[in-house]
Amino acid sequence: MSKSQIVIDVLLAIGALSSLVSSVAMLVMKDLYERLHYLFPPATLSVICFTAAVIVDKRLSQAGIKALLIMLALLALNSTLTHATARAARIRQFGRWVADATEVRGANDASTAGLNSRPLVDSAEEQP
Amino acid sequence: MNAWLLAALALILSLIPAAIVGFRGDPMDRLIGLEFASIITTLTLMLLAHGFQRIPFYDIALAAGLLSFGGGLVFIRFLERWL
Repeated sequence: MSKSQIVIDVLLAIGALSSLVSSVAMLVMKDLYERLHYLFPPATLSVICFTAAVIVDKRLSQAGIKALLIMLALLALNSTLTHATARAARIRQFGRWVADATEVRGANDASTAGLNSRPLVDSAEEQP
Repeated sequence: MNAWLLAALALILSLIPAAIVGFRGDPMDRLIGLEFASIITTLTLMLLAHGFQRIPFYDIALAAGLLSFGGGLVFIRFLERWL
């Protein structure tokens, strides 16, 4: 077994194991936002390992370039999709995307620390 | 069976938890299962194309990756606004 074949096998094992572990972890997690984290290992670590394995095997041939394209597509698009999913989940849960002032600080805290935009977005009437 | 096909088999096994998540719970949970399954499908198609030495089949994996993004966005939009 050549050195490159060993490298390919190790890369494939890392990619496959990370996908398997993250799929089981996604099943075990209780919360939607916790589950979202486990979309990233297959879309980052696994695809990078598989693409590296293809490039080690075939260099930058047609297969290597197509694997690179797949890797770039997954890296770029999956982060956008995950953010959009979290945004949709929050809007479904709270009815808005912008954070309420009471989510940033306690209801009785009058300081504006941590608020970059207009403070007291939804609870202006409650403040003294 | 070579290493590429073994890795593809492991990825196909990881579709089982994604299917379980996708068949139960809140619609947003199901959507996460679908998104996970689409990523795994893209990777599996890539590994199968390499394992069977069918280089043009990489295009199927690339198309699946791009189209699953669009499909996911449509589901997200509907779940956010109307469903």
